[in-house]
Amino acid sequence: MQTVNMDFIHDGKRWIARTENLEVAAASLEELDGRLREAIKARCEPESGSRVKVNMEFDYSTIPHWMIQYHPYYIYRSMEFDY
Amino acid sequence: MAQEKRWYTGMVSSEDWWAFWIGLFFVLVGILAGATGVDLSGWVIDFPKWTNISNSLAPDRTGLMSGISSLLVSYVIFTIATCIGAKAMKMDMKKYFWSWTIIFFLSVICYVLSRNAYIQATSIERAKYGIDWSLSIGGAHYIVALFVGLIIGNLAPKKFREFLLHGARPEWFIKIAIVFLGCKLGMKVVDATGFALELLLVGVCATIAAYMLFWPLVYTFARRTFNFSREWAATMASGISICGVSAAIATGGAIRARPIVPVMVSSVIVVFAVIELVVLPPVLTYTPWFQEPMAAGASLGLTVKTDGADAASGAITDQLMRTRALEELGVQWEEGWITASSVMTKIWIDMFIGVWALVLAMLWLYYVEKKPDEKVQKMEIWWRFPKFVLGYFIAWILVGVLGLTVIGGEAMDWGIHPFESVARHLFFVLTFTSIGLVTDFRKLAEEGMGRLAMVYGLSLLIIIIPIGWALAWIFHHGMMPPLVSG
Repeated sequence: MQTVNMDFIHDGKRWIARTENLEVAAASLEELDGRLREAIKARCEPESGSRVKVNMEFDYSTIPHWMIQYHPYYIYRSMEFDY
Repeated sequence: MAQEKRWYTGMVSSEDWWAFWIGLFFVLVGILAGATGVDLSGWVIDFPKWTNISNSLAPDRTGLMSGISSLLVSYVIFTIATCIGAKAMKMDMKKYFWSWTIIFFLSVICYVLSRNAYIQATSIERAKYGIDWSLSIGGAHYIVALFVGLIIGNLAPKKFREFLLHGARPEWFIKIAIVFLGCKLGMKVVDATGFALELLLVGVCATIAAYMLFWPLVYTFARRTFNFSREWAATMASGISICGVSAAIATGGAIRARPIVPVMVSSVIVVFAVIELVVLPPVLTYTPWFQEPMAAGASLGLTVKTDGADAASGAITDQLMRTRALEELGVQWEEGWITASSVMTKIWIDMFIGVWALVLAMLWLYYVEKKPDEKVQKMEIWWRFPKFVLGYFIAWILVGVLGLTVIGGEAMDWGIHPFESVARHLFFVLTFTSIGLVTDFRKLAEEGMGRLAMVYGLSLLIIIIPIGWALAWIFHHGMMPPLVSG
């Protein structure tokens, strides 16, 4: 199974998921996931019937510095897209 | 770029793990000292009460070195230890070093000045210090350090305040101190296994009961009375009813809330935690709670919502109540047990946050928002588990087991005492100063904070404190701190 590891953040208005060569943004996570599925299909061209795993770690450096000492991370998402 | 998260992720890069490593390192040094008889731990600086300021500093092991030498050795060793952690966590080393140094010596000055016998000596101790009056304010060093921190954190020039935030790490310092506190319980296992285990068990019971009652009540209150959205109500409910900022972050993450939600909730939590830290210890000490000191300690664990403020309020209550017991009852309770009671309850609450976040994540993803593509990771429990708690229990078990078997209680106490007691107090004072520095009361004036603060304050007054007090009394009443022997 192909695996894509991404960072993601919220810029105040949109959720943004990104790797070195892929960036997808949307107002809601549902919308983001839909766009991400399509972007991966276009970029990675997965075979029909295959599954792509997408790990998304929230970029914790975008949380105010003083808060980070209280908890080690915010969100870690694990998605599986069937094509 | 992002990497897949593994079970060991964060072991050398998170503050929580570095509290574990640093705390446990010094505990092992203390155990080694006890086992070999080599004085590896006596250098730790102590701050005795004084009437002549030249007697205000002393190493834990009398005669090992001068007070000034002990202070400098302690500064160097603790600086190296925390700088190694700071480097591994990729902090700005120059800024960390200088701000830590300022906070360390600021804390030392507060500690020394507040330990003056006219401020802290009890009426029974006055003859020993050759004085005929004293204020008998046990724990004055904590209160002074907090207020000095608050004054600088709220009134100093912005550039200086922001600079000091690089070294003001209240959660890190208190977690290191809590690992040291594990040794105290370990020593108690050597003396009286039943008492330590009872404290452990009642702490679990009180915590489970609190989870079952606090969260749904606050969530319903925020939703029905103040029409908060699910995103806000759930994050707020966890923050106020479980373990403060860490719960707000964990819950925000679990329910996929926008980060602004836990950020705003957390800003309210830290301010209210300081208000509780100042108000609750005297309230508990000078009301009938004085008759139930261990229950009073536990009540703090259930009602004060950050680790730093909880342990700090436990430490003040410990000092105030022991001073009053000595003055009015003529009994001398062992130091640290009221603090241990407040910390024990809080630690259980902290430990369950991973499980709670997993439950909320499953509920939200599979039932509330129905996201079939997204899988909840069971590893969430481990990732969100507070690792310093492992250090606390490992310290407890190591000191208890080795003290009962190969090393012996007396030798173990000799080796471990400088960390279990003296260094722990120093890290508590560092925590107080840091809490003051990071608490910015201006946050409450920011847009949107008024409504949050109102829900928080009301929930605290009508749900958390009354129920927390009742549960603490139900599970801990009748338990008393051990008396000082001899």
